Amino acid sequence: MASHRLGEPLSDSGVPHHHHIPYALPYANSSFINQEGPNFDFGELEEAIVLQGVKINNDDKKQPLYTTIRPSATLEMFPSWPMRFQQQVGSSKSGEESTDSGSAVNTLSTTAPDSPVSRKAAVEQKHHHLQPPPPQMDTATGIPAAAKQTPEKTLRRLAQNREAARKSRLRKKAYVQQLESSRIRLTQLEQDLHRARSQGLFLGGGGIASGSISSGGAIFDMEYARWLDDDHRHMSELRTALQAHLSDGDLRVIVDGYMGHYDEIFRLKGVAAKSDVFHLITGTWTTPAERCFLWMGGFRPSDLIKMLITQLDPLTEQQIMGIYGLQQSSQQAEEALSQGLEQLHQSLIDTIANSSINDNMHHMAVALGKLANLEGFVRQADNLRQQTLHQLHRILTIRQAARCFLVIGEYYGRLRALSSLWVSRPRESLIADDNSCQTTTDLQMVQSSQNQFSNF
Amino acid sequence: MQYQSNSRSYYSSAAQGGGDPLERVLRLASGSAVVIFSMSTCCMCHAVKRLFCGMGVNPTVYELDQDPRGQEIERALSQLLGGGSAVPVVFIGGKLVGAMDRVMASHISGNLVPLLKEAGALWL
Repeated sequence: MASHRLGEPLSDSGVPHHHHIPYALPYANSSFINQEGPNFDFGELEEAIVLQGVKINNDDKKQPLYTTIRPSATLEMFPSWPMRFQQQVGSSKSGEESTDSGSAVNTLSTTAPDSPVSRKAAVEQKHHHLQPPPPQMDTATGIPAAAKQTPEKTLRRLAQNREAARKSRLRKKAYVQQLESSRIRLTQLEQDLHRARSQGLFLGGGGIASGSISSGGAIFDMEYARWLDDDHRHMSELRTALQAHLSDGDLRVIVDGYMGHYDEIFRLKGVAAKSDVFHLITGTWTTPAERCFLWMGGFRPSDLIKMLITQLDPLTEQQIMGIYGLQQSSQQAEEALSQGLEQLHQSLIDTIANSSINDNMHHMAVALGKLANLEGFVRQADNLRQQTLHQLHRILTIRQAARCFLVIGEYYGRLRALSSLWVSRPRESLIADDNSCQTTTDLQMVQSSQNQFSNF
Repeated sequence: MQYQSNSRSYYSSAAQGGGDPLERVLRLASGSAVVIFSMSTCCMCHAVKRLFCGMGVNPTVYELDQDPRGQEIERALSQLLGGGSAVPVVFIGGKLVGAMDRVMASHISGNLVPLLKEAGALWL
């Protein structure tokens, strides 16, 4: 059987070879699956190799490894293979050409440390030798295994081995799939991190050093960057849908999707508020222009309504009433939350200022408890933003709502573009007029090239 | 804003030592158009009080930390809300509106003002 042969180099190759095996095998295996079909499997070999690799890393002594690993590896993988074969192969290691498998072993053991290609070739070579049925193999290697065992036992053993090999193949496939998906995820995470970091460095003037950001904050920054990409996608979808004059039903699906997209960022912010509320409040995840007008870790709903009133024409009388009512109620709610936060601030000042040397720790504990309330305020502010968007969705028709979300997205896109321009503006601003014309052009260019939004 | 800080006299006039806390909560809630259960040290309670005052409403406020049996009420409220912080809690017209998030959602969706008018806490 295939797996039998495969096991040989495991026990007979020099110990240093094993370092290369975990890297080499995936290459070999993927090509094998293509070439040789499902009959060949590395599964158990790899298991044992990995085990050996771990042991090697832990313990440098070669001799004990050799003796301890060999029986476990071989017995695990080749329950029916007689021990004597191993010893025989060991003796033939010196380079005798007495058997095909022996030569393959030699090739493997000599070329293994060099390259995965040679290993693959060697294993390929091995595979070719496995075609003949076991009794012939035994004869070729000179092992009188067949003579020692009855045909039934041999057949049963072979069946067991086939079963084990099949299971190993499946395990191997799953493992490789897992590796592949992890690799993809890793590159994705790296991209996100790079983007978040470059965004932070670019806009914050080097504000975010990699060490100064908390893990909760870093995670949120990555998720926010991904959310911005999704936002871009939703925007394009909306734009094409409106231009294509889709039916209301189809448009509703897209708008509902956009609402879900907004709900998602509020959910993410809720999670981030739990782990690092200061990160949200100080707004390092936003652009400078957004950050300047940040209110409780996000946009001010009444500002958004004010902007939208001028952009949403034409509206019915009832809708206008609804929008103005929304503006008033959001203003009242913002005022209430701001006053609550102000009281928190005052209370905190009192606690910290009045802490004496004697009961400093107690005061600090009290102050900590008060700080914890910050999360509640940011949650309520996000709740307010989310409710405002949902109410807009309720007041407007589906087509108006689609245009409304498009307007919101474009507005924040321009705000972010403004931030970029501000950061990269020429420091020697002697001539005002010429520069302002220039920036307008730049703004248009930037807006068309990078359409990022969202101040949530 | 009316503060029921001298709760001892109030409770003695009501069913003394009687009823479980939840009953008392509901009884207190139906005593005024707008009832807020609060704590003097809680900043979110301050926010909700400011919200109603800003709308021209005159709510009745029970400060639980100044009430001898405040802890019972606090537990009952927490149960009523299904866990989480017990204060602030708002009742309008004897009916439970909820904690701060429900109050704000109700206000944004335009339901709060009609509720207040219905309970007689707002005119115009």
